[in-house]
Amino acid sequence: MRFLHIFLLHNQQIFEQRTKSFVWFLGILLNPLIMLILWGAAFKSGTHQTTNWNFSYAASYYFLLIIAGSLLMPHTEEVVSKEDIQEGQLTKYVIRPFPYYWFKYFEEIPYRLLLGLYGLIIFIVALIFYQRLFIISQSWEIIVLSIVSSILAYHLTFNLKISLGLIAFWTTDIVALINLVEIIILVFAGFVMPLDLLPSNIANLIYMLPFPYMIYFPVIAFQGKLSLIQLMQLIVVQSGWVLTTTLLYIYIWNKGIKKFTSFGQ
Amino acid sequence: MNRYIRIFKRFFLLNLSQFLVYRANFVNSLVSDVVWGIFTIVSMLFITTRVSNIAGWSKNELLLLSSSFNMLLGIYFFFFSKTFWRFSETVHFGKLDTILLKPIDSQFFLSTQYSNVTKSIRVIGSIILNIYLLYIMHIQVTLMNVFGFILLILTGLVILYSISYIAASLLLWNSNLSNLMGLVWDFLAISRYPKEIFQELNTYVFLFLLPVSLTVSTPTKVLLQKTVTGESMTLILIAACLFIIARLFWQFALRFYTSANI
Repeated sequence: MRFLHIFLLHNQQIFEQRTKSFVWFLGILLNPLIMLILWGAAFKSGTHQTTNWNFSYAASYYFLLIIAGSLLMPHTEEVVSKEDIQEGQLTKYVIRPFPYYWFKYFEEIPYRLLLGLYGLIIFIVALIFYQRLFIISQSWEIIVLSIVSSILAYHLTFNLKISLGLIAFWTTDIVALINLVEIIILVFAGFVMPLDLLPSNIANLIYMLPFPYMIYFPVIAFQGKLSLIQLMQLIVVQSGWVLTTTLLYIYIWNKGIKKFTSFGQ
Repeated sequence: MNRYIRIFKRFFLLNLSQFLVYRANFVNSLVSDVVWGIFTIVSMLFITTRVSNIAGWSKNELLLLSSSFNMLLGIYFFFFSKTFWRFSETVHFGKLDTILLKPIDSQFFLSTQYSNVTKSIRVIGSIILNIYLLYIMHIQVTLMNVFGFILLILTGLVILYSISYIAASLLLWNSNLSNLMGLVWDFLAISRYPKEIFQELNTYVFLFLLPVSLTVSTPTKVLLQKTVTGESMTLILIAACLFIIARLFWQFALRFYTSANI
């Protein structure tokens, strides 16, 4: 119940800053649209289209990416490192009888829901006008399992991002590290292009990392590119990564909070 | 004019000394810039594993375009990134008051007070990569090509600056939009793709994107020794118009500024 109140409070805050949230969404919208235009030009130039990669798949992929980028990609690390640790606002969380993790978790959810809503609206509008272009799975089992996969993907991303932000316990400036991780996510989570288009040796290496499970696999799951068995395997792997990143968070938090000092008048 | 040059030099030296004092931040920033620069090239490399040609641009030409984009962005971020990033804060916390009270043009002051020295690494890296790509493409670049490239890159810089300044001026109406410049930079990143890919779009959309799409495509075509007289003239004309619009819009926006100071 208490976490519901935290969620509702932050929900109010988000709706006060609707324009700011919309600007964030426009930033998420722009890159996939440009990539789609680029691929459209590439296909017109005579790039060999396969059953796995043609303009329909590209359109579905990038429009689903807009929703995924809005809904599943928190940016907790910036708030955690800068506002909470460096500016000392962590104190107000530490003295409260709630775990810091769940505070940040329920603070982030309203942002994701609002941006996800914008993404969904864009997707529905595109679906209405260009229905023939889109390739989405028609199987309800696949859709349900894809939703489960997306929830796990969100938790995985959140755990990684909050752990990244907590590195600020040990260093005054983690901007370079945040930028590096952001770029790794942009490439390895499939924001640039679907990972199955990469050379197979590179793609297989990337699949061993947690990043494809954040965005890429949930997106192709909704496209119906994974069978039921593959989806279940995906969920198992994602659960493993969620567990690993949770343990990572606990370890970093327990070590880092001992180093944290805050002072004031 | 001499006064403004002296002030600009003083700002630059102050920024440089600040960077050198905080060496860890300097190194962090440098690493960050190298990584972003590499990302631009690597993402284009990944795309070109699947396609050999996009809108008449071959793989190496697309890499040259990405490298030239890095160069332009490096110069832009060197001079203006910190300024525009802090614009929202400057307006929101009333710091603009002290700037407006100074006996100096406010746009000049705001545009030059910060510089980001580490961004030069992107420019240096791009120059090296451009030379390498031109070498493997067996293109004999003349002095005229180089001069034309530099001139058009600087023209592109004026366009990027003008668009950013127009967007920043909007903050005088809503200073809370601290993420607006991030959106503008995402928009300006369109310039890393060939202009031709936008020609298939709706005319109004294409015209809206034209200023940005020309900024890197046109100078890169000069290096590739393609005929671009029409595009170059268009680029220069757009740059001049946008600069004047940015100036006039800033003057107009200032009328609506109310101080936050007590």
